[in-house]
Amino acid sequence: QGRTISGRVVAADQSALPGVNIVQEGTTNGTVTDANGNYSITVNEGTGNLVFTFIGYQTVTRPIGDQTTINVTLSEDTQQLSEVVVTALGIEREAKALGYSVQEIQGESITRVKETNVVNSLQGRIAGVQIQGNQGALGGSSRILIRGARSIANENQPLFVVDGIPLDNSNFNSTDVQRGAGGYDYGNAAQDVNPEDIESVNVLKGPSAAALYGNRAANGVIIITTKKGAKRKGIGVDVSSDIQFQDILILPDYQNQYGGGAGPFSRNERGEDVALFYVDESWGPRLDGRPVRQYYSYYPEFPEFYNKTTPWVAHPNNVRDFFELGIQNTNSIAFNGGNEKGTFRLAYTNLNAKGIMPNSDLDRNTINFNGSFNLTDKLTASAGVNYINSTAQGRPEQGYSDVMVQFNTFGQRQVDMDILDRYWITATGEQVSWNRDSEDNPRPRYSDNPYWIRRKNYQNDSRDRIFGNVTLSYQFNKWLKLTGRIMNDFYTDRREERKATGSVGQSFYISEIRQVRETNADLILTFTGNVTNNLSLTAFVGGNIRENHYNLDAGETVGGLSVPDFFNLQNSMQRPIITDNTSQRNINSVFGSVSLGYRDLIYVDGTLRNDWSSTLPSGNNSFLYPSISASFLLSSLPVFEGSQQISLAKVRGSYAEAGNDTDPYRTGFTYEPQNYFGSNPSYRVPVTLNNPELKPEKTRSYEFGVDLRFFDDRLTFDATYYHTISTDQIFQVPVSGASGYTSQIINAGRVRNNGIEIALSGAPVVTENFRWDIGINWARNRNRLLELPEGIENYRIATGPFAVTIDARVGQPLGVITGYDYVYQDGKKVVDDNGVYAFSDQLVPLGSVLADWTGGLTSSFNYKGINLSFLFSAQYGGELYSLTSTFGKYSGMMEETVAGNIRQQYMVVDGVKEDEDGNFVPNDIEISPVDFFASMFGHGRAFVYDASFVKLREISLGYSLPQSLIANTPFRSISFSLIGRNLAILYKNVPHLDPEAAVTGSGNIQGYEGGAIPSLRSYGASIRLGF
Amino acid sequence: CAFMFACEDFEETNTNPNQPEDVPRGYLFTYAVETIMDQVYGGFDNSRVGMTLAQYWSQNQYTEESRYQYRPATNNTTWNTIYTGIYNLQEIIRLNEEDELTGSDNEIAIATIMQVWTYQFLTDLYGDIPYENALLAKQDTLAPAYSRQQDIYPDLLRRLRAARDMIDVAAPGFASGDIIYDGDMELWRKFANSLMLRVAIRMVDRMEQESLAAITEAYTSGVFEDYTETAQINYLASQPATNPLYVDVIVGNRNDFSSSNTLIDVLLARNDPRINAYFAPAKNSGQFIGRPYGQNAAAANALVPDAVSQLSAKILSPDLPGLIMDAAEVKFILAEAVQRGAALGKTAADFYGEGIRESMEYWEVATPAQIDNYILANPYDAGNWKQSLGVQKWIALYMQGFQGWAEYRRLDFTGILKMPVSGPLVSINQVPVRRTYPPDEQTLNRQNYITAIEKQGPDELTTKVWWDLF
Repeated sequence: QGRTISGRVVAADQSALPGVNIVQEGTTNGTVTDANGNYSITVNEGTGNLVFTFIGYQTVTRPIGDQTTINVTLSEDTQQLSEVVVTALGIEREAKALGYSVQEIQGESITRVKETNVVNSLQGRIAGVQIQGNQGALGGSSRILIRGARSIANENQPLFVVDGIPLDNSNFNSTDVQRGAGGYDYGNAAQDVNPEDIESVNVLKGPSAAALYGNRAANGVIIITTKKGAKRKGIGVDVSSDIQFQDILILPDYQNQYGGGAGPFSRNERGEDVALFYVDESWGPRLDGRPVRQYYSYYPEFPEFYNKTTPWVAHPNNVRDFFELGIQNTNSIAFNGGNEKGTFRLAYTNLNAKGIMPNSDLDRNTINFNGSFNLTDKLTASAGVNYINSTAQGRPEQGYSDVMVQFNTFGQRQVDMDILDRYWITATGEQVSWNRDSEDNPRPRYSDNPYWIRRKNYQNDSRDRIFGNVTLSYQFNKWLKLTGRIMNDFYTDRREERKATGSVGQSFYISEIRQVRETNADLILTFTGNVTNNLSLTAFVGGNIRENHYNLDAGETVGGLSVPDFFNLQNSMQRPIITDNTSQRNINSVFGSVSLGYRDLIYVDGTLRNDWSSTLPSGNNSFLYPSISASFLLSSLPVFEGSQQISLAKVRGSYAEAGNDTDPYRTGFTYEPQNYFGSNPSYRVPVTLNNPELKPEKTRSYEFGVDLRFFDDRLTFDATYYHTISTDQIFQVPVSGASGYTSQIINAGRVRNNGIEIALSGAPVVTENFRWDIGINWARNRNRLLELPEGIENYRIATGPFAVTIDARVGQPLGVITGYDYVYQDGKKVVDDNGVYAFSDQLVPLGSVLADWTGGLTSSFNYKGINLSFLFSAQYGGELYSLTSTFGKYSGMMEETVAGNIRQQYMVVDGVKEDEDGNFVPNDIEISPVDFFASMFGHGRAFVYDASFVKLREISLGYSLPQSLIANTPFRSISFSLIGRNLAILYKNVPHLDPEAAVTGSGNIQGYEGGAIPSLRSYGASIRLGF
Repeated sequence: CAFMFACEDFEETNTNPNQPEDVPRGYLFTYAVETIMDQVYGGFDNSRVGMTLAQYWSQNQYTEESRYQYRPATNNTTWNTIYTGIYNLQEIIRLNEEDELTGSDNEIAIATIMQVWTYQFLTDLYGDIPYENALLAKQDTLAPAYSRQQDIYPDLLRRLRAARDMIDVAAPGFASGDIIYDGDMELWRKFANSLMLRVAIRMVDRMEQESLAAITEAYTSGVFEDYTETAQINYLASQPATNPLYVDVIVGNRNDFSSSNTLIDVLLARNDPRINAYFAPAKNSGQFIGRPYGQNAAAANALVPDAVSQLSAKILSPDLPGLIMDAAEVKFILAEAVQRGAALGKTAADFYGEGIRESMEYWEVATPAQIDNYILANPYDAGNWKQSLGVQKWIALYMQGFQGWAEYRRLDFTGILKMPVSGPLVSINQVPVRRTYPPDEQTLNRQNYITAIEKQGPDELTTKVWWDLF
């Protein structure tokens, strides 16, 4: 009795739409279109309708009548399109079906204002996702924290997945860089992802969403989907170009009344006043213009100054003068096309950035290719490959090291950058430093000339990277599909650091070559279909094999360079130090997932995964973890049907576990090679005690929330509460050195994070030509360390080079600044017999490095193709320790050291002293400011500040030419924009600095500012053309 | 493992390819000695703490330590590094004992002697320290309890005696890696006895009988006879095996340390030829001028380095040996023992003169005749022996800052050490008599730390250690 109807379903551009669902209305009779968009369906006689549905397109209903051919064109449903999100393993799901929160950022908002590190582009846009980074570092690290820090000792970075490829995001920064003690921040490797190639970014915040990615996803997953080609006529070409300028946002408040030295000038045999150039502090004579012999007056080749005195005057802008205008230029071109058989996109982008310090450049070339081809009706092959080549030279040093130290912590305020710049080297190649040892010894005492550092002691690095995937999928029938993929991420990273002969300290050359490779292969069998008319089922099972290889070959010269300024390991004066380190990790996994949907009302998902890791001892190396989630669409209940006010009301909840392994080689006992003593080899017992009885870590979490949409989605509100407990953490816990080891690998600790995320957005005004959107996100995370191994109350995350440590203490958040406090008597600070503050006997917690809450506000105005948008971001709470304040005062550099004219007389610090009778009376002991600030450098409390801020993060003004204007040109689209980023700090409490400038790594070592590179503001313009 | 995955090679995958599972024990010894001595003679221990506490040196700039304000973090490094060294010595003992290796007695003896030397160094700094309960991380003792110094000292003597008695001078020591005596077991035996002297004399005010008995026993068994037998780490001219002071000052170009007027004035007053080995004349004047001890930053900066005596070229040479114990100290200990009643066949004055002689010969600064004259001019004063012997011992202990300071604490010679000229930066009105515990112990070993200070006294620079009776 059946009759066959066939036809073809196409999109508006006439391209075939495969996988469109076709159902005879009111029955369970249905089919899907094939790869060419063709379908055929046998229907019962009689009238009725065929319903064509496809995610992202408007549903079309056609009467069957007596037709035998029904061709349909589906038009895109822009509203619904944004409701489809990419979840674990690249599976697209309708947002409404998800029982956990996922947030999506479209590619345009990332490319609108480009960052050298793409991660920074997400700042302030996503509730519960805190991103920190210092733009001054030229491709430096960004730290992402999703719903707080779970791991006590390891990085809490989310997993990056680009088109299914787990992407390595290491930065290999030394601990010194992170704790502010100097060195270069090489940035995290995920910045290799080119913003121009990003279609969308999805953030899976909890382990629930991540349960299928395995152990690395406990901190959330950032899923990046790159742009693909589309079926179209001819080849599409997109060209974009943008330029940004960067300058200093904030510098410390320096004093400009006193010059370098300590006390008065010395007098030479000629009766001239001589500046104490060997003192790298600014406690010298008043800058009153008197004639003085300065460091540059001892060089016959500088006749301008030779043997002459020059006026002793201030150069208030000397530090600012050192920095140059940063310029970042990005150009890209992309081709895309496609037909019935396949699609492709090929893109090339060049990013060139010149940093704010002299002689600093970063250059990055990216090629991205994505293609897919239908080999047969059922077999599709696709491949994506990205090649990135990036080179950098002269990255700025972080923290307490060469350049910044003489601007932030130790230096002479009167130095003139112009003279340092022009006269930085003698005719015979010797350095000219302001910190000359003495009249007859030109060798610098503590500080090199900053231009010498930038021109001679620069680093350079390069990275060549390929990541890509090859996928084959076979569609057995309409409900069963098998997909096999191989994914690879491989890079070679080379870093070279050097110090030239004639610098302060011994000349050296360091070369490090790292090879990092991760290969994943997986096989997934997917079932999609309806069990009954009302019950839909999607299920899959799969397996994954993962292998990680890491190799480091490094060398460092010993005893200096033999031939001056020849930077090669073979030029080491003594046998160079060699590092030869290889590691491998294998993880095998099986996983499965079942998703059930009942009508449009209830969705339930369950997943299960088991991993076997090579890094855990056999017997303990297998771990299984489940997740379950559900969502309930209240708005689909009959009572709300047809409601004008409520377009969506959903409640959701989920529970998930995630297991975790550890780093390789933490279970055995070996000896560690050390430097030779002459011809004697030297080996030691490692200072970290390994543990042969490790078991997997576990994170358990639950979350629930509501998603509400009102007035045809004009107003949306999402809120989530989550709770996460991480237990049995594997970490290296410092122990008393008296135990024989300074740390032990241990399975212990319990960390809780709970919090609330709220996202509110609305379009208050929408007219035909004008639209105003506003969005607010806000998140509060409460982090608490509940347990450490028995007998240990404190875990040392890092030791600052001075004064404070960053700790994890039981009962407190991860990352507590610990140091000496004042001694208080009735709330007043106690001053000792010398007139300086007494220090507390014990080290005490001085503040948490974690914020109380973070938030962002976005707003955009659209008027006839003109778009104006803002982004504000804010952090409330959290503390940091500032070494700039500590030593900037110690050395007399900062404004505070001249406040109240204290250098003219003695100062009396605010506090109480104990008199002979044991009573506390107001302090009246006079003390010199030099002694006072010197007495304070070991103090913690005095230099710990609230890190709250409100920033104007971004402004952009864009204009897209209307189609009417370009209809008769070769252009498909033309748009321009003006952009500005980090334009202003509207609120802060840290003196001298941007509170975010202290970030020099992505790990838990945070809250220690060691002489930070100033943060930058940037502004620029871009143009995008489509052909 | 299950399913299609083969996991049997996981153990192999997780075997560290970068480090060996067995190494010759001499390699561990090289590490232990070097790491302990590099720390003891490093910039943040001997240079900034030991040499300033003994007032041998002042600071040209950054003068906080000479005014008794210390950096908390470097104290942690001292503690951790020195215990790491002791633990590697313990590993040598463990390997020998567990595997019953041939020749193990001599290796155990050498490792024990160095452990005793190092433990004494630590307890002299801090007082009570983890000792009996230390080094047991593998036995799950991550937070070791502290032992009382009065219990540690007798045990150090016991261990030294046992080590000495284990030594077979006819058998070899370490196959390689003995960077102190290059396998000469006779010298190790003498060093064991000499170190017994040092341990015994420190506790003499508390346990005079035991102390003098141990000294007599050790002397009879054979101690250092002259400076050629000195225990020292022979640093090399080329990095990284150079003296850490050279790396700090010459390589790092950190000219932070100068002579102190405390020592220069004493040397000048006695016309002591060692001044030429210890210091260089001031560049500006060619004279020996000591920098006032304990200047504040402004005063120190205002007095240019060239105006005062800096360290001599000899002291700053890369291969300056790191002294572990020398013959001069042995002689001074013997002098004191005789003074206190031990019968060693010579007078206290004899040993005192030999002490000066060994010191001057070690530093190669005088002819035998000059030395004789010096001893005549600076004779032993039995009536005020703590002063005359104390000052000479203090001069001879130059470069061993912590030892010089310990003998100042114990012998209490007067009129030499003084308060910082610009005053201390912390609340204290005396020369410190102890180093405070490293701040890490307050957090990583809190309960035991609290118990320790309850027993010993407040964790302050002014709390005396057990042997410091007067």
